[in-house]
Amino acid sequence: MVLELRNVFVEASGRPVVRGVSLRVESSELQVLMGPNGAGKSSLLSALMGLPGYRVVKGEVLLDGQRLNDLTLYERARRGLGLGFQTPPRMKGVTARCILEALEKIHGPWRDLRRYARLLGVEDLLDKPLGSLSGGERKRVELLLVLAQRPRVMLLDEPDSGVDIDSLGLIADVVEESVRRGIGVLLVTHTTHFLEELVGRGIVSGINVMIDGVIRLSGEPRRVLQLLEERGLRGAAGGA
Amino acid sequence: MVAKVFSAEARERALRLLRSRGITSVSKVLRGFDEKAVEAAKRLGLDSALNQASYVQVNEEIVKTLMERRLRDLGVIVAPLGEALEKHSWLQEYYWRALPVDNDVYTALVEVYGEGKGYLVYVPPGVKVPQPIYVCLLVTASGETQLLHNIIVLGDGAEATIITGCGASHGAGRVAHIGATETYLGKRASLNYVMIHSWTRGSEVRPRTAIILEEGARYTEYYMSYGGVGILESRVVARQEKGSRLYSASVILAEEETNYTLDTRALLLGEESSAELVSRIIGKEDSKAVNRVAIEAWAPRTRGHIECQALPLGDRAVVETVPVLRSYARGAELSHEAAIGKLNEDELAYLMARGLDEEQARAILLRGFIHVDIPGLPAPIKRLISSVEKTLAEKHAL
Repeated sequence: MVLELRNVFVEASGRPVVRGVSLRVESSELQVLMGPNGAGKSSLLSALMGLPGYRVVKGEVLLDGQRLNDLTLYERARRGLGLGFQTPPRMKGVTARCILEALEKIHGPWRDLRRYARLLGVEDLLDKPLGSLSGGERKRVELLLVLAQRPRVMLLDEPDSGVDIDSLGLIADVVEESVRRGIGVLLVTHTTHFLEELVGRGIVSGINVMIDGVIRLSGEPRRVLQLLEERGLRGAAGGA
Repeated sequence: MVAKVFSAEARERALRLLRSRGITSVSKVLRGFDEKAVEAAKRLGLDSALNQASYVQVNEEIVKTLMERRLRDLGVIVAPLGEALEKHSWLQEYYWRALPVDNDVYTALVEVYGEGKGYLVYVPPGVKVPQPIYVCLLVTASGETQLLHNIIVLGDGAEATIITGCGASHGAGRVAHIGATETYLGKRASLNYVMIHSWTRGSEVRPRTAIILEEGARYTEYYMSYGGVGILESRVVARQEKGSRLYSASVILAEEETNYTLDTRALLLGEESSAELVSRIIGKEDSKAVNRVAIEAWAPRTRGHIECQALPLGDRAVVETVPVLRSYARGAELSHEAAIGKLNEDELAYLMARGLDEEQARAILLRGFIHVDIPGLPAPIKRLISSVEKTLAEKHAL
């Protein structure tokens, strides 16, 4: 077992947004979280990471059995939790290389850097200011930066949004490889195409449908997708 | 001691200005050498040093040895200005032309008391100097006053990169550095000029710079100054002819009780000339930094842009940016953006979510803030600047 959420309640800026979510993400497992806009998916990931403004007000978050609730943002990251932001900040003048160098000081040299950079097609982007990258480029670099943290569990918040079709394939390749190498992934997505791509690769262990801060449906991916289809809820569940 | 006369007319104008202000020696105008300092120096028997103008060129011999033959073969001259004036009569044509000798008391002081110190860099027409030319000016002893007159001449179509490092050594105490620099770029000449300053809290620094860009010339300047400094007052004016391009980036890290005043002006005199003036200022502790930047358009189809960004870190630091755009011609396009801000909390959180602690995260954001992407700089120079940026950002992160 890697990441476990036990009856988690979340507040965003003091407002309740997630109510009683329980979820497990094992090593080498990809769990998908989907749901309509405003369901609380991104708020949940932000609270798990400990971002300012988001708070787990009730319930427990455990990583390898250790409680994360009281840890600071960077302590959670150093324990092995990595968040891929839906909309990473532009950070004028900052390059991926600057961040990679800082991470190297913490974790030591990352031997997989060149390989993952090549897989994601970002080798030539590492020395460019992050703010100058296109949406798709920035999302691929974001995934590289999360991996550079050497995470045990990745929380990927819509890695597919604003991304062109070629970039989607590259991102799916790297997510697949990460899962196969033992990383647990909790991934939020809206797009049917990307979800089907991941399901088709046989790497999705479960789909969880969140509506109004509550997980209403969860289970084996094809079964969940079929149920949504049968009930005409595919769109309502966030599949675009 | 009054310096040797290289131009009777320049000397007369300088003396006239100094006399009108009642100045008869160097020490009278320099903040550090007040009566108490003079008295203390007299007790130590060092009062004569207060009026002494001198400079130290660190690694001068090594640089010359490494570069001399290659440069000489290209017809390039790098020499002390006094020597060069005696040897090359053509140099008189440039002597105090871009920068009037009676521009202010500091240029006049350089003329009267400078003893021909400072350097000449000359690149003949059409010559593209393959390696950077390094100039290093250091003040190492307390009480030193460095008076420099530098002249840079690039002939038509010449290209060069000059890197100057100026500063005071640790424990130098009260020192002064007054540098008058005249730069002449011939038609389609191109100069990258990188200047890195690191002074100490007792330093008084007053650079005066004038640049003339002939038709189609290109001037790219990168100026970085860091460390505590008593007073740093810089005045730069560029006169640009048709189709010339100027790019200037200034990065200032003001700390301790530093008092910075930067005054930069680009005069677009010829059609289709353009200027871009970029500045980044970080103010810490009790520092005060005033940045006045102006672009004046005197000809049609000229373009200018000013970008001033300042980041006060600390409750007592004062930063002031004053962008000025002035047009005397129809069809000029001038713009500016100026901002004083703080480190973005969301960006800090983003970096901390990567596993960086607050200090590491701030260092990355500071490095990003002070970084200016300068078009056309050679890659090794970019790496040099990047390395300085990284060191400074880490030092100033908290």
